[in-house]
Amino acid sequence: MGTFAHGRREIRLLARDPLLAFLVVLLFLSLALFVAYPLLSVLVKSLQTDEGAFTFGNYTRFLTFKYLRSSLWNSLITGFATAAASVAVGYAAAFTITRTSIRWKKALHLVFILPIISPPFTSALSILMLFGANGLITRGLLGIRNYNIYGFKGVLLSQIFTFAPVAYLTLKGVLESLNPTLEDAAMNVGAGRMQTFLRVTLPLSLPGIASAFLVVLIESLADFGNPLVLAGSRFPMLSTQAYLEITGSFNLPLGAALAVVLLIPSITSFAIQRYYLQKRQYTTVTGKPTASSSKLVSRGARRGLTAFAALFSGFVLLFYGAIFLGAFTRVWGYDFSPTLDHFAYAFGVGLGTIRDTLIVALWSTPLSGFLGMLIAFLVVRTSFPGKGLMEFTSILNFAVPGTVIGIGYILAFNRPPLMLMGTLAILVLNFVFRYIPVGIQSGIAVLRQIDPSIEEAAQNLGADRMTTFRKVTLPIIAPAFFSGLVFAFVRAMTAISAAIFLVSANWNLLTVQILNQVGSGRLGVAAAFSVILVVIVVTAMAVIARLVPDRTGGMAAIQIQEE
Amino acid sequence: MKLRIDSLVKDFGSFDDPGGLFRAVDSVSLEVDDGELVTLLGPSGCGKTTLLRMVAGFEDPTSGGIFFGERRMNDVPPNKRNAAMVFQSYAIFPHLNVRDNIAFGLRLRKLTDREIRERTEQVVDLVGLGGMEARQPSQLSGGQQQRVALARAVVMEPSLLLFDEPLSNLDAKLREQMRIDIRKLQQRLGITSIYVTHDQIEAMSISDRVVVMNRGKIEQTEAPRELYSKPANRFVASFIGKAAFLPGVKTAAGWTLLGRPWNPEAGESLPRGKYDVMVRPEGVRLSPAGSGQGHLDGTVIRSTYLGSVMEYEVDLPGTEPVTVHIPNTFERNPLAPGAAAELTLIPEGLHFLPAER
Repeated sequence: MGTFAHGRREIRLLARDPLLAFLVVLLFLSLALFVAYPLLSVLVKSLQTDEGAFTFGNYTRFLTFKYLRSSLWNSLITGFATAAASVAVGYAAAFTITRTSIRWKKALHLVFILPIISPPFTSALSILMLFGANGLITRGLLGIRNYNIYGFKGVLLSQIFTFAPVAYLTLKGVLESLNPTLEDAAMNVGAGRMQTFLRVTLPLSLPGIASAFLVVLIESLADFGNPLVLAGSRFPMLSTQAYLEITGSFNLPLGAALAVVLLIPSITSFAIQRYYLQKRQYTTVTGKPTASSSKLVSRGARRGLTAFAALFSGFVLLFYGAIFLGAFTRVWGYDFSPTLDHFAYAFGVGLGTIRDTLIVALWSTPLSGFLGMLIAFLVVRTSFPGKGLMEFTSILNFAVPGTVIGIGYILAFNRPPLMLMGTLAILVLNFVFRYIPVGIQSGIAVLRQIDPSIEEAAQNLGADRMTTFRKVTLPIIAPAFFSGLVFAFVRAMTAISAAIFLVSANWNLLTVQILNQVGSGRLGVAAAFSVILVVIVVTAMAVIARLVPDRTGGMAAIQIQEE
Repeated sequence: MKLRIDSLVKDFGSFDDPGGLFRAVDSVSLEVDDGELVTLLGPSGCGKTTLLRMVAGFEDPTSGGIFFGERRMNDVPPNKRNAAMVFQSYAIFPHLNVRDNIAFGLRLRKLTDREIRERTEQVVDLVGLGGMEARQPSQLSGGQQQRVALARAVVMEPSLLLFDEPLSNLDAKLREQMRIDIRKLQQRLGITSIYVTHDQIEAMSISDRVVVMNRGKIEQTEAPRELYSKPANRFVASFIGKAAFLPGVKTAAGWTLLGRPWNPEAGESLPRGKYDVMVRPEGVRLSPAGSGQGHLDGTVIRSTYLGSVMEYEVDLPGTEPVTVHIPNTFERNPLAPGAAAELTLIPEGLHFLPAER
């Protein structure tokens, strides 16, 4: 009996359902090839010399060279600081939205999450424009010459701006799922507002806070664009250092070793977040979210929160305003006369890149959306050997920094039989397998909410498994499916860290183009590209929202995805 | 169609813990005649739903057989069984309106549009949903959703109708109405049916026969009347209605009850031995102490006005308290707690079980 008999039974079930068996085998093969194999390649490469012999030399080099060693330290410090600050900002914002009755909530919410739909280094660009050597604020307003924004403070500021919205979305979900009746109950038995907050609301949201902290930590460690723009050479960070070793020094083994070092804290945080914290989250909601109570917030606290919300949205608008203006300004910092030159350049030289980016996104979006839902369906609703392994492998990429994946793809697909470098396929595959975890997670969440007896009812009425999926499950999960699409599209348009390894002369991406422009000091062109990118993303979201009327808006979609 | 269940066993094992094997259904055998409605009744976790789900094909039996007529169904997938089920949660397809929900199965059978329309309309009238065909599930009340679920099952003209606690989410009044409607419909269509419930009154009122289950096993299968008056054991007796058990002994010299000589005027054919004498609340008469009418002395410990009856709990020395129902006689001042009372056991209400202690 036991495991063996169980496994045999599952194999028997598979044999009875050849379509399921085919799908399972196909998915396992693709996950092995496009998730596990690249990762293994990085690990193997990091243990090799240039000639391919086995060695620990790359790691010894990492440990002996202070410069390399400090990149780990810097990444960790930045990660923890970013996570702490982002969670504080995110919690305050989430609390404001869920527990107060301030006006323009919807608009505020949109402003809060605006950074999520732009490339992860938009803020780095605006920080350069505002606080750089020729920054509007530092030089223009304060008259400071050659202010140095590079290093820890620059990266930190930029990352808080980038990742606080992520923490905000997570924590908003957490606070919404805390039944406000609990707070009412605490006040009912005589607790004051502060006591209620400190003894009920805060303790109950603690697992969520820890979870948000780790998610931001993972994202910060994996972040590539902000460090590349703002870290500077005196503040090396792991993800960019690994890139520079490979593209600058052509030292692939050392780059791989740095990637493995980067992987350790990422995977650890991910494991804690997923296997320890998620089980400890309090969900005190049983049906629909109950109407939030705003009795918890005193008038003074409300004023404070309003001021905070205004300040944060002010920052967001300032950052985006700077980019928008920058795109139409001749030479930012010197010559503020209006011009369309940057757009002319972007549409002239960069038209191919815009087209490439769209093609890549249009390929990878439906693929990853469909694959995510399929895996979610298999994991939740069917039984087959290795189900746990499939779920694990498919969400693994969420924890793996893009830099590592990028290096892995270079190593894995730059030689026969899979010679994919320089093709459209490698970009699409990379995006598909990187962003299915989010689709899977939201698919699983939605499917778990569907009463299994609805699918049983379909079978009971004569539908086989495929018909049930097509006629019942798919229509019900359609909103989640479409929001998965939005997410995949946004990410495909805005991702940089893995993609930067995989672009080629044939296939280039907007994000890489923007970084290149920043690198060569053409901030105006970079800003113009950024504006184009954001416009495309927002348009696409509006189109998808229109296609799925009043079930899910694009923004709501993002929200579901990030939680 | 006749349903036969033969020594059916279902073990649930957990993948992580092979030792945690749990036998949900334990060699259950049962035959349901053509057109009969049989209820599976038992406390939660007794295996009744698992048994039903095996008949529907949603669970695979560990061993034993399920036969629809002469055909063994164990390896027939659920979508090929034509055993329509009414689910506890209704399981209405949320993305389809009433008409499309009902027509769902017919469309899969590739019937002509006309036939689908005719049959759907017919069933809509049958369950009283006329005029609501275009409504979305979210616009329906619980009772209406229940009717959609029923219509969706009945329209298939199934060889077997399965009900999984279909009324447990409705309020008391509606439950009673639906119970009557379901029974009428079932008898009119003559479909062999299995009905799972944990509500004994529902089971009694709707069934041709009731199967009482406990811990995966069948305790007793009987028509409601026999089940109530002649339960096979104390579990069945206590699960269906209230019952007290008084220790009685039959010897050559006659009966004693609670150690005192007694003439039950019943149980003449029973062999000598120790018995649990089952006493139902309505099988007892209660009179004030000293009236000399009763043969057991007790003390009233609780009296509750229930409207149609007055319920007393009477403490008897040396055994468990007895619950007594006295039809409401509009007395203003019945026996109060603490009052001494005499009990008379009505012979027709007595039932003798071999002593379990």
